[in-house]
Amino acid sequence: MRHLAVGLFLLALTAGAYRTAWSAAWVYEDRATLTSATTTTGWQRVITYATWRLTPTPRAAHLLNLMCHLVIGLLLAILARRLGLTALGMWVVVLLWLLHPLMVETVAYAKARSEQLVLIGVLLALIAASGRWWRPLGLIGISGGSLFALGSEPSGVVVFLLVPLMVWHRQHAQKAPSWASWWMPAGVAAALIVAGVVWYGGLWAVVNVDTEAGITSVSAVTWWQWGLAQSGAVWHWCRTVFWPAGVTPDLDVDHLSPLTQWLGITMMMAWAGLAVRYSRTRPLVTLALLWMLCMIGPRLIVQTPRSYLNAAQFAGAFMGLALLAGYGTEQWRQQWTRPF
Amino acid sequence: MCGEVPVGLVALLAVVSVALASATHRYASAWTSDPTLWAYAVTRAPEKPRVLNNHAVMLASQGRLEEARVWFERAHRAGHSPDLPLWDNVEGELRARENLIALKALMNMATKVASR
Repeated sequence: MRHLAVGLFLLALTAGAYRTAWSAAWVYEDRATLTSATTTTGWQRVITYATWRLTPTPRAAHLLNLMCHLVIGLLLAILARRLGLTALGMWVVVLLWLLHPLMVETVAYAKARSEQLVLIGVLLALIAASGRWWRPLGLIGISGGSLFALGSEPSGVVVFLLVPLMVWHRQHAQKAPSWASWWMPAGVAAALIVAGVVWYGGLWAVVNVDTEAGITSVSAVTWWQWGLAQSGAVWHWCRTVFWPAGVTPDLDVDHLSPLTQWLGITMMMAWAGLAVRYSRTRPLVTLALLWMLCMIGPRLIVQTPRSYLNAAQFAGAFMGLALLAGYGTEQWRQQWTRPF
Repeated sequence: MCGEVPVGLVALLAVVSVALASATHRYASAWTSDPTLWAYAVTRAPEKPRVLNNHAVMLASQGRLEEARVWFERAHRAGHSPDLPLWDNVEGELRARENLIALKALMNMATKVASR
């Protein structure tokens, strides 16, 4: 009963916060995306485009985005419980996901639905991977979730990093048969990534462009410059988690200071260091930190011409922060209730 | 205590929820149309050419040409937007025709810049 009350409370707040979904018009590149969805053929973004063809009006599109947002909240709740968070921790994770202003772009910008669909696929795969993954149902869940993520947006490739991470994290949670070692999914994922890059044409996959002109424009930027710029964006979005006033539809990454860029790099190195440090004593902290690095890592390497990390693309990493917040709240509660 | 969770913590989380929902609603309101989106965006990225240009286009499409002129010029000063036309050319076309063709051209330019 108490869970129902909390759920309805959050649902009501979410519906109220996003009530503009009923009246909002197309914005920014929505119209271009709708055109692409109706004219493009092929397997790339096949799921995303299928949803666009089902929602040709702004109201339908925005309501579908809102529904995806709620579905992701539900999947996050299931995963949080599977990972051992208490009800309090789970609700904190869901609360942050549903109501944080940083997530507005994924809901209010219809084009960002592709990122939502990737996250749905990733979460389905992770929920399957957090259980007895070697069983038929687990393998179906991982495969289905992975295909869903990859069919929604190329960035769905992060599923190949997160599933092995989840299996590794859960290796002691249940006894696996001897043939189902924790490293096996990592080996399969690595092989799939290599095969995918080779099949896609090597450099073409790494720079995420489809034309010679695109290759040229990307080649004008060194990996170091690209990584620095993206690191600055990572710092900005992390700061926005704590101070949402900085949230913006079009972050000016080119004008972020070198200090911001270095703070971003330092922060991510600190995440890696803390992940190692807490791997035995607080494995959930390690999982959340590595989750964030896996979500961000490919974007430090894969160059997309003139397209820096935006708020919608940061949503996957935000989930790791939400898990940390849920875990931290639990720890805080224990301190709070400890007798003096 | 409220169940296993202290009442103070429950109250704190409720306040945080309402505060976040309020901030989310404010920001979501900026995403209801292109004019509101770019008007908000220029307050957060006041030196980004794409943002400045798109805001100017929105103002021009609303017939607020004098305001649009200021923002177009700021977009030019912000730099690296060689595809943007000089304001004088745009203004001349707008004043001469004052029809949808000019606005459509502006929108095309904005899209071109936005896609870079």
